[in-house]
This record gives sequence, structure tokens and C-alpha cells, in this order.
Amino acid sequence: MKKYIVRIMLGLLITSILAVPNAAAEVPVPEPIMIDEGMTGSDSMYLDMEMDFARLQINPGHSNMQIKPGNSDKVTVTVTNKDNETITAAPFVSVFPYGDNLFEESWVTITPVSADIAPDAKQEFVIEVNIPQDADIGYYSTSIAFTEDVMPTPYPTPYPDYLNSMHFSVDVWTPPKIQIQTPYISGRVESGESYDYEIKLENVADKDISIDPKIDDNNRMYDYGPFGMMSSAFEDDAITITAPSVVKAGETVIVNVHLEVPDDSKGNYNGAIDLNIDDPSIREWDGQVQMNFNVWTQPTEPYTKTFTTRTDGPATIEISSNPYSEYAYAMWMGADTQDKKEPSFDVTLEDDSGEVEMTLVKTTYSGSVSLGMSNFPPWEVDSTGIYQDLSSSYIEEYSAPCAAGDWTLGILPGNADMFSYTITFGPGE
Amino acid sequence: MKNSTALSLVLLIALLVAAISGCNMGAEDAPFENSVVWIGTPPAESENIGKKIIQQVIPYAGTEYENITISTSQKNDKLRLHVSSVSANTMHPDLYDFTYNYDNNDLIRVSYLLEAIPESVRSEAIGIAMLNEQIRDVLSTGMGGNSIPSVKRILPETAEKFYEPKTLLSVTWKDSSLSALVDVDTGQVVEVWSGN
Repeated sequence: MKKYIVRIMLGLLITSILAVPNAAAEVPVPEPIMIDEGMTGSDSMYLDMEMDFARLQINPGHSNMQIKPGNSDKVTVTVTNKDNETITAAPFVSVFPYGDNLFEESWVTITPVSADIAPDAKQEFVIEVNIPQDADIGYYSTSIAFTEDVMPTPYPTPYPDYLNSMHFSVDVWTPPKIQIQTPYISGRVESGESYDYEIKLENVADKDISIDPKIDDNNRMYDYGPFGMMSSAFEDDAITITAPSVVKAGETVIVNVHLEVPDDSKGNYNGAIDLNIDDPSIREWDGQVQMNFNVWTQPTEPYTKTFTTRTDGPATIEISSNPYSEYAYAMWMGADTQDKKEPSFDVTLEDDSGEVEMTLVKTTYSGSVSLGMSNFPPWEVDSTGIYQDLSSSYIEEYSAPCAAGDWTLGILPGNADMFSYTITFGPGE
Repeated sequence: MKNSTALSLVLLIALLVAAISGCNMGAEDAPFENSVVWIGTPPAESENIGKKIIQQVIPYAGTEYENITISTSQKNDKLRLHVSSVSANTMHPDLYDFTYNYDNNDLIRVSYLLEAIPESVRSEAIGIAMLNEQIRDVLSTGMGGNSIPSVKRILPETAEKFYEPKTLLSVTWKDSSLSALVDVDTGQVVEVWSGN
């Protein structure tokens, strides 16, 4: 009896050993194309061009849906056969094996299940997505392939790259229960000064929701400059946050943000306050209040320029702010437009005998406005005909009696980060 | 008894139908009545025109327009409408120009300039643009001056001509003729324009 068992076991073992290559051959894994020794990278590209695969045109190539849990949506995709023979398109979901959220194949129904498409013929497929009630909020991405043809690679890849496929994404969302009425804080701040800001949060749900606002750990994600990451104007500890721990149902609370700008700070601070709202419908990014501060050091000493005039007569001095500061000017204004600050200049003129009286002759606001006809990127062509400010400038013109001799002009700017001046001798207009 | 029950049922159904239709009408009318402000004297058929405009002005995804103001002008028998839409806590408005043809009740969008974009998205778009090598090269030469770039929403019908039919953002340094067309969803710069 034992002999029989041993023979059976041996037989099974030999059979299984012989069966392994055959079984492996039946697994539909795309066979990687191997590069011969001595073949260059550019040579390998010709292999791709010679391979045989179905040529389908898929429109749209990308599709994005926003769906609430428990709801559904659908999109119609048109597939055109660009080949010279009939192709069977049998769409299927190819889930990307990465990302924060993995797409579930079971959410998608595609009709028809398959279709034979004649050369140059079109076939519509309806992709319907049903999001289950218990799905996690988030962004899901996948690929929907219409044939099994894959992009050949000279090395094994973790997942196949289907040639006849479309990118498909679903944003699973629910309306937030806490409305953040102050989604960002920005403005120009002075070093050595302190500022107070308020973030208003309204609870529109019928139950209390807890919050725990803190400076976000991954701050300054987008503090880029032309040379890469830039250092921050000040550290997070310059900001103090005080807030209640709960927002009661139907009520509005205020999160207080206090900023003490250090005396030696310069440049920009980009950061965020993570409100840590206990509401799964609010995603990490949406539960943040972005902060952008441009630190400004107000000079206390005037800029000085010495000059010499050889003749007696009036001098005309013109001072203008930076003409390209339209957006920078908005920064002066801060988020609250009631706190509008105009540029200004304190101007003095003196010689050895002392200061002379200067008369403000003229104040000018100048600017240039485009109607979008020229020197705009082609994708902004649809703004043609709408007024767009290109530059704006504030100009002050002074007149002063100037005897021949050496003079010193002093200019102390306010609310201006760049200015230019001209000094003209001779009779005015 | 049976007749009175049947009559009650008919009345109940009639009331329900009236209530439901009333709710639907209210839902459609509410945004229009609450948000549109006409500057000056409203034109003829202003209610109908206002409703058509509401259907064509769409704020940035996830935001709402707080108010929509419409001013009008007349040129060559055509009514021109200038629409300014303001979203909460955005620095700039969305601007649209339309023409309205009274003969066929047709409202045509002529131009748009959409800058009502949440600050976080705006910062993200600028960050993505500045990671692009071509943009970085130009800015590092100092040609970008000191200006902060403008960020404008490009609608899918325009974006389709340059990339795909989806909302994109245009990040433009006006004083250096430099612009990046940014897909915030994928974090990519899909086109760069440098004045040529």
C-alpha cells in the first residue's frame, strides 16, 4: 500500500514539475520585449513602431466626475476604429495600484460589454459609476482600457500600460458641515508690528463639531522662488492661535490669529492653519486656512540724492511709484479692502543754509490698460475686449526755489516698495 | 362615504402636486432673484436675460458667486451685457461680456476674464508654474521684475485648443510676456508661452 502511495506521490510531483512551464505560459501576462546585446536605446524604439496592436481613438481621453456617496453619474465615450480591420472593444477597469484611494472595479458598469467596431466606424460606450454609501471621501483615479494591447517595455513593470485606454477619475465628496468663511489670510505686514486676524467658522449641521486649529506641519508647500525653495520670513511660532474646541450646531465661532512679526524678518511667509475639523466631509486641504504674508520694513530714514545746479531758478522734482505694482498694490490693501493704503512720499530739499519749502504742484495717477489684443498668451484670447490693468503708478510733482550750489534731496516713501525720481531745473510750465 | 373618501384623495393629490410644483419654481427662481443686480435701468426682457446669464456664468469649482452685477450698453441694435461676478474672499471678480439678440432670444458669450479663484488654488497654480524649468529660467534672469503673476481661469472650451477640454489656470507675468497653462488636478504645466 505504501508503495502505491509513494508511486502516486512521485507521479504527482513529476507531473507538477512538467506542468509548471505550461501553466506559466497560459498566464496572460504581457511579454516584455527584450533588448538584444549591442542594441541601442534608439534602436529599441523601432521595435515599438513595428509591433501589431489595435488602433482606437477614444474621446474623451480624460474624464472626471464629482459624485456624493450613494449617488451615481455616467459619461458617454466614443471609440473610433482607426485601424483597417474590425476590432473587438471590450472595455474593462484597470485599477492603478497606487494613490491615496484605490478605485473599486465594482463601482463601474460599462455598456455595451463589448462591441465589434468596423474600420472608421464609431461605437459609444456608457460608463456608469455608482458610489456606495459607505465610500470614503476622496479622489479616485483609474484607467479604462478598451483592448488588451499594452505598451511594450524592455523591463518588467508593476502594472500594464494599456494603449487603448482613457484616464478616469472620480471625486467622491459631501457638502462640508462646517463652512469656513475666511479661507485665507494675506497682506503686507511690517517687521516689528503685531496684527490680529479672525477666521469665521459656521456650523450648518444639526450637531456640535469639534475643532483644534493648529499651524499645519507641512507648511510652506508652495513657497517657491525662481531659484527653488525660499526661506521663510519668520517661523511658525510668530503666530498664536486661540479658538474654542467646539462649534455648536447652527452657530458661528471665531478663531483668533495673532501675528507678532519679528524685527529682523524679511521676505515672505506662506503657511496654513489646519483647523482639524472633526468632519469627514472636509478633506485635509479644504480644512486649512492659507496664510500669505509679505514682510515689509518701513524705512525711517529718507533716501538722499545730492546734486549741483549752476544757475538760480526753480527745480521741479517728480517722484513716482513702481508702475508694475498693480498686484503688489493689492497686497498693500490686504484682504480687507477697507484697510486701503495709498503710496506717499515725504520729500525734503536742503542746502548748506538749510531746508527750502517745497510745493506740491501736481498729483498724478497713471496706468496702462489693455484690451487683450496683443502680447497676451494665446489661451487668454477669450479675454479680448475686457479691460485689463497692465500697470499703475502714483506720481507726485514738487517745485522748489533753487539757488546755484549743492543740494540734497530726501525722499521717505510710504506704502511703496519701489520708486523713481527726476530732478529738472529751469522754469516750469 | 366612498365618494367623500375619493374626493379627499383627489384633493390631497392636487395639494401635493401644487406643493411640489411650488417648491420647484421657488428653487429655480431663488438664486436669480437673490443674486443679480442690474446697474441702471434694466433692459427689456431683463428677467429672461438674467436667467440665461445665470446659466452661463459658473464660478470656480467649490465656490459660489455672492452677487452678480450686470451693466448694459446698446450698439448696432444689439444689447451688450457686461457681467461682474464676485465670490466670497477672492481678490478679483469674474468678468463676462455677452450680446443678446432680441430677434431669436439668443445670448452669446463674447469674452471672459475669470480671476475669482480661491487663494489656496491661486498659490498652488503659481507654485506649479514656478517649478517649470522654462518658467524658472526666464524668472531667474530677473525679467520677471517684481510683479506677482496674474492667475486666470481658462474654460474647457478654450483649454481644448491647447490641451484637453477641462478647466485650466493661466499664470501670467505680464511685464515679462511669460505665461504657463497649468493643470492643477495633475500638478502639471501643459503649455508655456514666452511672447513668441
